[in-house]
Amino acid sequence: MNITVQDGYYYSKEHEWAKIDGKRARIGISDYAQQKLGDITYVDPAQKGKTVKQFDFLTGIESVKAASDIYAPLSGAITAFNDTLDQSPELINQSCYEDGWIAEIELSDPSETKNLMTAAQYREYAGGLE
Amino acid sequence: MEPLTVRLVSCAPRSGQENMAIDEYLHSWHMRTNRPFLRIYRWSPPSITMGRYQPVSCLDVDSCRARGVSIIRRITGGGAIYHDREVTYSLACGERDIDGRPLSVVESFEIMNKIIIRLYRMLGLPALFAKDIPACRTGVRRPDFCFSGNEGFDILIHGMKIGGNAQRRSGGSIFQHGTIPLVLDEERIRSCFKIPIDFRNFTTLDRIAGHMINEELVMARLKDAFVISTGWRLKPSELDADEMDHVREIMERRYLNERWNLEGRTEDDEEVPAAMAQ
Repeated sequence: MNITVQDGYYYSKEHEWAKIDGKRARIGISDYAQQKLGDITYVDPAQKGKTVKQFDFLTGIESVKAASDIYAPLSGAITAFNDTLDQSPELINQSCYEDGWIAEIELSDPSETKNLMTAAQYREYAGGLE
Repeated sequence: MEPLTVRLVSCAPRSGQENMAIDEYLHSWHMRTNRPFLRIYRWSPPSITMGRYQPVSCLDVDSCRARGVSIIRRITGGGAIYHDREVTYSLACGERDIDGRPLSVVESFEIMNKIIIRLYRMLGLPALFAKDIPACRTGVRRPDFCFSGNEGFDILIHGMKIGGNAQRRSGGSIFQHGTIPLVLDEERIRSCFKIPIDFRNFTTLDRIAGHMINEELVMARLKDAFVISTGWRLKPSELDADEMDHVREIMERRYLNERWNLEGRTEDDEEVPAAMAQ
């Protein structure tokens, strides 16, 4: 399975990514995850203002006929949901690291990135799963 | 290698609320213990289950209520299913338990549904995947009525879909629901749905066999099909009193809650806690 890993992002073992910008992070799922899920048909809107803990449930996503859980790679309050996914959930399949981002979080503890993988570490981790 | 031991739960026919609460309890049991389970069950009275994120706009809710048909939301994806005289299974296992590697959604549906194809063939019925039938149109996105649409790994007999399957994926585990319909009450289904349903597109065991098929026989063959296909060892273990207490708590909180069943939310749902939604 050939996968793309975006440099400069952090990754969780459950295949979410986080792109840090100061005290905020943009969050999505990796190329490995979108390939495993298949054609994505729905993303449940993450509720703005809701606080999430690192590795806890963030929102749900549906592909083919499977409802899958997406976990928060970092703790904080959700400040934005990518509303374009409402009409075009397939953006996650087409551009998982850019246009297919899912939510933005105001970080409560930026040091939690120590619990995530760098792009190089994630490349090795995801490659070893097959 | 030692065969995987799978907890086998077989329950008497239950209401839709109880059935979905038991499945959710067993899903959480699997997530906690990493042990797989297979549950084979039936329904009484008839119920409609909705996919996890499916709007109920396709249903005539008042008509369902007037006819005593409960509406319950599943934790799995896909479209609405009318459950009456059928055999249903739920199964949870780790992503690597089937093939030794993490399976994609499509790969896992294909492997699991091959087991169901084996069941139908054990009953003497020529079941095939939709993708193996050249003239079959596949890929209709989440049809409102599950039996009306075909994915490539859906199962057809004589060109007509039979049953349906849906999954929940969480934290490296696969949870799958599936139905094997024996009879469908067309008049009652039409009255419960606002959308047109073409009954020529799908079938049931009784219709395809031309006679009544015994539910106990289907349940026994389903177990056989799982064992032969996977090499798993099924170990019967019914829910104990403590576990049934958990089931009742889940049923009260979720499946007897109109907000969950109609909107997919509960006030104290761990997915959208009310305190956080302010």
